[in-house]
Amino acid sequence: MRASSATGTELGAIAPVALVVDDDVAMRLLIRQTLERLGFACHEANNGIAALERFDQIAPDIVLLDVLMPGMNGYAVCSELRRRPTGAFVPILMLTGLDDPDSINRAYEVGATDFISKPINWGILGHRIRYILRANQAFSDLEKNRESLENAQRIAHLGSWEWELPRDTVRWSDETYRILGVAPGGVAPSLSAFLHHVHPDDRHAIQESMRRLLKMREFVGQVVRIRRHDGSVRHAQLQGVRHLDSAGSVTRLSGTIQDVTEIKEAEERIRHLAYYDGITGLPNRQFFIERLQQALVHAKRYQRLLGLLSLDLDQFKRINDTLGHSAGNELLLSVSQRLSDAVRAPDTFAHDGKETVFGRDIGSTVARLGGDEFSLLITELTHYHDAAKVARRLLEELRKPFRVAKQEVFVSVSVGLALYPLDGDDAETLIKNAGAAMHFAKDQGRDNYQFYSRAMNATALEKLSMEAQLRKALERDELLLHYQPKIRPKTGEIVGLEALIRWKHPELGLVPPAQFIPLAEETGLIVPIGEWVLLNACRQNQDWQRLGYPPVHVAVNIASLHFRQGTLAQSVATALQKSGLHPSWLELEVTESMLMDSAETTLATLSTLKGMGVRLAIDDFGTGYSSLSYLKRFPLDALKIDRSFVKDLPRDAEDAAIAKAIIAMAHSLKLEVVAEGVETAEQLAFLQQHGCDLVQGFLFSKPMAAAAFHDLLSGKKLKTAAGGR
Amino acid sequence: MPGSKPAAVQIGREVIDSAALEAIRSLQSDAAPRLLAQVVQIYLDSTPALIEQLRTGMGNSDHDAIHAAAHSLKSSSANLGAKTLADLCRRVEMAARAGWIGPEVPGIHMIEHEYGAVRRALEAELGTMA
Repeated sequence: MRASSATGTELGAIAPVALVVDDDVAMRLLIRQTLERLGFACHEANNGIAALERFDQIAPDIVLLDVLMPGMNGYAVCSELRRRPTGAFVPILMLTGLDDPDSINRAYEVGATDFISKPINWGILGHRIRYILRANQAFSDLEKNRESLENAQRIAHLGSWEWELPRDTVRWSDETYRILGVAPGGVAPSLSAFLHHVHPDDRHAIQESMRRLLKMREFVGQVVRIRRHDGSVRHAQLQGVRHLDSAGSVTRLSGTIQDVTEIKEAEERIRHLAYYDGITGLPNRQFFIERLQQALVHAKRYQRLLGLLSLDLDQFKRINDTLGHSAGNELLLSVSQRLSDAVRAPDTFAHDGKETVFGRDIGSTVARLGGDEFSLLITELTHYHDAAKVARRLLEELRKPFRVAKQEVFVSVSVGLALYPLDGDDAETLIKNAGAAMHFAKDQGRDNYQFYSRAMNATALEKLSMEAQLRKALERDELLLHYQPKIRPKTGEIVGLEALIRWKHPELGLVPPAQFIPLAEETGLIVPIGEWVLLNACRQNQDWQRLGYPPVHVAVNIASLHFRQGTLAQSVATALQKSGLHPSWLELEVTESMLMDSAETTLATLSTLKGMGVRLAIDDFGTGYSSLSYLKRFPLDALKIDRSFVKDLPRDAEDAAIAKAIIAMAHSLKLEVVAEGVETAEQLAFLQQHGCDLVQGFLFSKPMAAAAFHDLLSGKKLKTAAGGR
Repeated sequence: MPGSKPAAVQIGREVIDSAALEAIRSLQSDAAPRLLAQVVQIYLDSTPALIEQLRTGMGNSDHDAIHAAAHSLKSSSANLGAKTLADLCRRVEMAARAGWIGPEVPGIHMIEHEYGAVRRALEAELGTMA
């Protein structure tokens, strides 16, 4: 067996390479023999220059180098080798004289790893070389480990820190500096130097963690923001552990800092990919369904209405086919932007141009469910026909031309609407039904919207047209007031008039209040209408007074929306100021339920109005809670018995008892009592008998136009209908 | 050791340290069965030239030449256990390095004489190996 192969296994599978440099051929021969027995592949050089050349050719694992050689000596060769990048860590053994300590010192000075003195003890040379190789291996392994750890840390953006407590010294790894945006060693490491680079809002948390670390074993996963000098912000995750001495006291804290900015960004990208559509950036189907489900939970709890619109582009396939996919994508993006803008536009829900009942945010989510199919969820919906309004707006917006692939493109959209809870109470059903309605819209000839519920389509249309016309009624001066007198039965004199609104439609003629007031209330138009009534009633009354008629109260019914909105006092003040009417000749009629809504703000509003000097009456009394205790709290002047109690007087004993009780009660509160709907002499007799102060009804006069009152007011007396109508 | 022989010895004084030769012999292997003989032969072949270099150097007072030759001869002689000759060369080498070759420094005849003894001893050694 060859000795070289036997020892070769000892040093590894690949034979290590040695370079032997000596001018003495016998020496080279002996050294070669020694090394080959250890498994080396040997190369020789007999002078310094040849040694450098050989070294560069073979990149040896070890060099044995004689000191004294003709020409370039061993020291010069050693220095030269150490200057080479490949020679920095190669073990170099210099062969020196035993009797020459100077040469040994010089050998170390020029970078020799070790020396071997001559004459060489051939018996132990092998052991020496083996030992040097092993030590060098350990050293280079350590160096490699350190390097690879540092590389790994740099790649992972993982830095480390240590804090020796007794000496209060802090050490940061290079990567820690880099994470902070500082050159390694660029600042003196300390906790306060670290905190200097942390976002002010996160500093306290770090200090807290360090304090906790003195009591607890470790902290993990704390993410803080690092502010670099260049203004960029990084997210860093901190961990820390403590180290105890044998006595159990904390001597050292250490930990890591990892730059997790990219991880966070990647998570965000992943989330975005999972929940958003790549082409339009809108929420995708998955996200939309989750949002819809959340909205349903909320809507069920708070009994809200939800609107779901399914939209499909009518000409998308044609555009995709003729202009290509990228143009198609461009169009989808433009459509999505226009949809988003349209639902965000503040006037989408404006009811009267200046007041938005449910304001700027309709709580909408626009999503692309796939292909050319979009969906819109409206969470802040109060009336189903508002969903129709949104649909109309979207149709209108999408009819405007798009610019795609440098040309003008026209598309339209078919819209289906489904509403919670009317058309389904789970996400799947609502989406399915909105889709069905959308297909129905396509069948209807595209570029239109359809409710899932067919009946809604008709009424929505009717309401929309009615609403549009009512809006115009204000502008076109189609509204007018009729007045019904209130009579003091004892004397027959007129003490007041109740103003009642009428709508004189150019085609439909006189529209009864029951047909348009609910719509006005639903749409919020009741407020501007209420303002119009206040102003015109006051003006009319002031006109009469200016004409010299004996003064009477004019009573105006107040809508609950107007009352709730908090603008009533302002409207009243404006009407009084514009008309010049003295406040005491204006009476406001409010209902029981309005007072019950929110007693605190109601009281404040009523007090304000009372303070202005207007009269306050409670209307339709007896139909609501009819609570005496709360009536006492409000500054009221009059109480009107609801016509339902008057109708069957005096025959119905129960109604008679109630009417009597109300009159007695009102009087105990010093309220004037008015009975509405008085149509017969018997009713009048009963009311008079029980002390009712005023009566109002067809027995005396139906509501009439202002002109009809000129004569009546001059006499200020009215006979009953039986007597004089 | 199978190849070992008694060292060549002169009366009263050991010219060659046999342990040095043994150490070299122990390096021999199947790959280099005649290593010692090779090394001895190289020594015997190269030494006369070194002695000639030494002689010329001394004649010319060329200290560098003396130093180089003495160093080489010291080194190769020590390697083969020729301690006395190596010591003589060491003294010449030191003197040459110091730049002063005085009367106490071994002369060329002493070195030639000692080498003669070393050569005879090594040739005897080669004879036993052959």
